Amino acid sequence: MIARILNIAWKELLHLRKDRVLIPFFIIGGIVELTLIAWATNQPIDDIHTTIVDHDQSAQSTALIDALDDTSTLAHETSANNAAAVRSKMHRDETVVGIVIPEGYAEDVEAGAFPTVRLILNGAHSVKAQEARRAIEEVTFEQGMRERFNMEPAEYAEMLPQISVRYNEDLERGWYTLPAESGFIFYLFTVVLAALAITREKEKGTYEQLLVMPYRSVEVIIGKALAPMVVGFALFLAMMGLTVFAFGVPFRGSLPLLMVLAIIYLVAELGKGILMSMLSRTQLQAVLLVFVLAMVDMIFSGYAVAVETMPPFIRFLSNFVAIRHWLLIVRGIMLKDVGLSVLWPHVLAIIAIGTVILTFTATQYRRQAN
Amino acid sequence: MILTHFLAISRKELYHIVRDPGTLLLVTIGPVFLMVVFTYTLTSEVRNAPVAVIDQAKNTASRDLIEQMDTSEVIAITDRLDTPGEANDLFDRNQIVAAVIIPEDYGTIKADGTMSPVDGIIDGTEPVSAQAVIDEISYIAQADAEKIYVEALGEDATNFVRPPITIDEEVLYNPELDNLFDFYPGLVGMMLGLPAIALAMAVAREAEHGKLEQLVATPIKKRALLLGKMAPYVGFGMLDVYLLLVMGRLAYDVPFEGSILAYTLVAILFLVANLGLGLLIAVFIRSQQVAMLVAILVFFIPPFFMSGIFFPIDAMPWIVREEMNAFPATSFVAISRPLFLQGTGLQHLWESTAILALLAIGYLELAVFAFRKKVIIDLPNPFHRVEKAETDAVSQRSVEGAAQ
Repeated sequence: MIARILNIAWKELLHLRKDRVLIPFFIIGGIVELTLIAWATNQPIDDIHTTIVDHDQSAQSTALIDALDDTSTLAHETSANNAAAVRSKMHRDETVVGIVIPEGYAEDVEAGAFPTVRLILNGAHSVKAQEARRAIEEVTFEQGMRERFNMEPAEYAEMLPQISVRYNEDLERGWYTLPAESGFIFYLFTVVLAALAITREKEKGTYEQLLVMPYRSVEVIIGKALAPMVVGFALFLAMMGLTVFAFGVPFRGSLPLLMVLAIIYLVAELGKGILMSMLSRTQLQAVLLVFVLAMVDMIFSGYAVAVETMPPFIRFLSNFVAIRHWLLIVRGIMLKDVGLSVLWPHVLAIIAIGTVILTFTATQYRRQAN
Repeated sequence: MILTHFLAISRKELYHIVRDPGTLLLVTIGPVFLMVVFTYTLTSEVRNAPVAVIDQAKNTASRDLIEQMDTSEVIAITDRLDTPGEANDLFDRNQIVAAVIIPEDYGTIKADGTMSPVDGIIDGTEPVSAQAVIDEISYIAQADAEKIYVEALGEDATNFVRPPITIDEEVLYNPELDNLFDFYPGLVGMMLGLPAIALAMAVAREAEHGKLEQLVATPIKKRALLLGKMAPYVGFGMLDVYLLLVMGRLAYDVPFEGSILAYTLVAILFLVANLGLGLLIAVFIRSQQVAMLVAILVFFIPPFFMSGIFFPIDAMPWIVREEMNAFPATSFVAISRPLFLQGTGLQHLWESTAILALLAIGYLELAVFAFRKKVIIDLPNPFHRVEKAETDAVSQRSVEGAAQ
């Protein structure tokens, strides 16, 4: 039985070796995509175009403007005469943030009253606007404490809520997205390869021959899955290496554990690929089907936004998607250094999903064989 | 003459689209479906993030604070623990994203006139939600502390806890600062990559089937041929644009403030540029699968990361920014966001509009220039391995065709 499985697997590997497009596409495309994500998510949202209106023209207002200038988040590009000028600049899409310091600002500060500064945000650029708002709130708070109480941030820090962040201390977006992306790329790659395995035979007309050969359905499925699995596993290691060594995402847990779990996960996903392959007539159909499926998987995977914060119904459905469990395992091992004692429900879930898919695939093959 | 050819080719292409369910879906429902997927995965608001509370004070002040947290929509208290250590396990199991520790002496002002603040531990694994949870917890804790100071020390205490400079905020165009508004106009552009992918695949399919060779015998000019192929896709693309506009309005409440005429003009320019790029791909790649993969690489990856839809591009090195101008999506995003949400007139956005027009003409001309009516399929299709003899026969034929 093993010899027969290996025969099929060897034949598949030969096919893959001759493929001069798909494998380079995934390897180069994967590396490019990973690099782009690392680069894009590492970019701080900086130098947001800011227009300042200073009606007060005092030493105090100048000090506030200087303090605002000092942040890397804002770029004080222009000044304007009044708030209306800021709004029309916004309408022309020339600025994102407007700060209006009213007349009498210095007097308020001197008198110990609470001066009001007007902040105009261009909501069309909401991501930048939120970042700017956070920075401005911080700066005005510090500046106000300095002016009114002569206190530097260190002196009153103890009075503010003490918030500490774990696992991803600097809230690097890349630490979340990169493991997810590398997981996603190798998932897509192996499923596409598996999906091509049987459609290739169908297109060439050798599928019928395969059906009448004295192979058992399990042997064909395992044989067909073995080659994509080897290649997929290699890609997985490459992607992990890139994520950790080139992009600096920490790997805190156990690598052998992750590798073993990767194999289990691969088996579950490969079953899906082979099923797609049996259901489609041409290779193109199979690839398209996999892409559509991948998009649905993406919703449930917590790829960009944590599933935990999604509506309960989606959260419930996501339990039936293998990639969600896989991403939780990857993040758990990489960032949180947790072991099987914590991850076992996810491992069991992947095994259960994989078993269902593989059983269905095997019955499907037997049906087609008859 | 050219017009007749153009119309004939367009009609034939239209039949192709309408009769092939796959392509028809790709250019009609495809963008709408993809938009739902994208908006869902990328912009879901943080709601009811699970939080554990460790109440070491167990007094009225702490109960009050917990009540405040309970009313928050962003966070939801799911666990009440006795010691901070118990939270570790919950963090490991992903059961909570934050733990709030209320100190024993919470609510009492100490001799130095200060009060111990609340501690928070946040799981930073998912930074976007984490930031939202941090903001929410700080805000609630800060407001509660202010209240306690005021109750204990009277109005004077506000000096100490109230932000010393009040910020009077005015948000234009998107009062709730909903990121979906920010992304939506750009996403529309990304979805319009689908018709371009469909076009590239359609042309590659004809090449694969050798249909383009039959055109060698016809007097149709290259320009009429390519424009004719493109025209129905522009039509379906515009249909998608309006569909997405209506969907944004009805399903996501994204307001459209601009001039529909200006938007239509920009969308047509963008579609022509995108489709021209798709044609260019198809001219060089004559296998459906490869064309599809390359088209996905061209129409989805760079726009996603570098056109400014999600990640601001101002901070990118200028050389990259200039290079990104070669992708029609970059200019489209730059125009459509202000046009869509702010009602900015095209006269203020002329620079990007000019680039877009240039790309539209440029890619089309480039495709016309590179397109050879004498089709030579020398590259064997790597997916569908043709038998050696067959390949030889094909190249033999094409050599003959070229010779003629």
